[in-house]
Amino acid sequence: MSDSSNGGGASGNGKATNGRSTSEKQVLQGPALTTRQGHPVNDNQNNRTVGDRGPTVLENYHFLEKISHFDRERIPERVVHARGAGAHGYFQTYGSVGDEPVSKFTRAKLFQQKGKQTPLFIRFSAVIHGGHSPETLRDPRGFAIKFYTEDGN
Amino acid sequence: MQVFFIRDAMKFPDVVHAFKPDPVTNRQDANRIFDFVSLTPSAMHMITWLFSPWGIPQDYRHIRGSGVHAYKWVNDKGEGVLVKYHWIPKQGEVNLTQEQANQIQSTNFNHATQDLYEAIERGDFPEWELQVQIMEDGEHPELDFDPLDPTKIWPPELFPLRPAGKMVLNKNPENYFAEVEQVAFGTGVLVDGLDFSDDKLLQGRTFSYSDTQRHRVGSNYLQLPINAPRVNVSTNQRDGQMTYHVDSVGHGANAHVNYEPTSRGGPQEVKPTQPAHEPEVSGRVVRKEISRVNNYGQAGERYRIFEQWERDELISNLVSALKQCNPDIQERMVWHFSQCDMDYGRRVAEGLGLRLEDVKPVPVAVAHGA
Repeated sequence: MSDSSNGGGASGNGKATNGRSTSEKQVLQGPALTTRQGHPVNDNQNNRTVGDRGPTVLENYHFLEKISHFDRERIPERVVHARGAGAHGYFQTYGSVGDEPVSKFTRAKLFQQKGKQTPLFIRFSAVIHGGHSPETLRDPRGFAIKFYTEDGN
Repeated sequence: MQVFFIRDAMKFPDVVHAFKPDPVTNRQDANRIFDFVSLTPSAMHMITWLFSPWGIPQDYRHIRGSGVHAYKWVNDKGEGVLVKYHWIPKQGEVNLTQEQANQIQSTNFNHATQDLYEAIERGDFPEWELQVQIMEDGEHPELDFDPLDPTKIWPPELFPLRPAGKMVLNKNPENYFAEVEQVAFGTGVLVDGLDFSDDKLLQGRTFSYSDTQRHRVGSNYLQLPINAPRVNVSTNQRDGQMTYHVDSVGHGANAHVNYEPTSRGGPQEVKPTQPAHEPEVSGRVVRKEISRVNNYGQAGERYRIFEQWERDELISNLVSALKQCNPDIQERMVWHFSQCDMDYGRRVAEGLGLRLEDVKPVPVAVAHGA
């Protein structure tokens, strides 16, 4: 159901440019702003109040969803390794370990067949302090890799 | 860092608490850190690395990755060997002095994140070579350390680093939270052909890491795109917060079946095609430290291997931290350093205005495993 506070202007067709002047369209580009329910949002600047300086009303799904989601943005921080950075990449096996075929020591598929690539994600981190602590601190660093292999991760 | 402070997972919360901010003042406190460390001689090797320039890598592209623990590799006959992993940056290993770090930190506290992101954006993809040390499984009484001890390095002259592959990082995350924050790693998550050693710290972490992901991200964390395997996942695990889909049904399983055994089209066991690795273990069930602790040997060796400027940095960094500590803690640390290397102990003592000759030994009963 559409929230009545959004008024009647939203077409709900996924474009934000309806009813806008040409100059507005040049600046304000992008998809239609919606709620998580998919309702088009007509006014993202002003809360719904009784008169322009009156109390806020509770019949306002758009605001309640926006603020209560914001209240829940964070999940528990890692107790160690909270500060980190990550990247995608791949592992490419030599098919050997030193001078010997790798299969002599392991049957793990990601190491077999020279040149085979396995996608991965890596996360570098520090250990002790919180999520936005300086990256110049004296601290061990984390170096964690997830391999998306044909035998699972 | 190729080593860790402790070797038993029982001590993991303690070492982390000692390094975390004081629970009253909310400030990191050298007196708390070295209170713990001065009674934990296994930490001397790691402390020697940490207070040298190796404790502040220049950024993420210039660090070496170390598996720290001994793991195992298992071949198609089910035979296992002990291995240690090393990721050597093709960009080189570069560290900072305290002064250089202070300079950077005065204007930028995200420099390493920035460096990694910008390098990948400009197409300067960082690379690491995987190098593996291999050791026959066993106790190796000929070594002066236990191969399962994560406070020790396997000397590369005895166990050469053998290249096995390379890693290239070529794509930045599209969203920090969805990928970097929600990604869930675990030291106990291994595919076939890889296995665990009996390293006691590894075995504790093997439980702890996946446990914390269930708490931190949620019980269905493995259904998130960043964590999900890219192969068939068919389990009978169901429900829980944020269930996004039903494992196995997407792979053709009967949606009514969430148990096994079943003759109604549910997931079936996979017959192994290769023999399992089945090490034999026997012994009394005890609470007991390993016999070959050798807490000081590799710490002293590292002190002597360091270049002069690294040694000078190490002493300077230790002295400035220990100056914040109580005299009894300072003395215990000086004594431990002197056991690693006399010159090491003497220089720290001098920096603190102490005479090495006046420092009393730390009794074995006080310092666990000294």
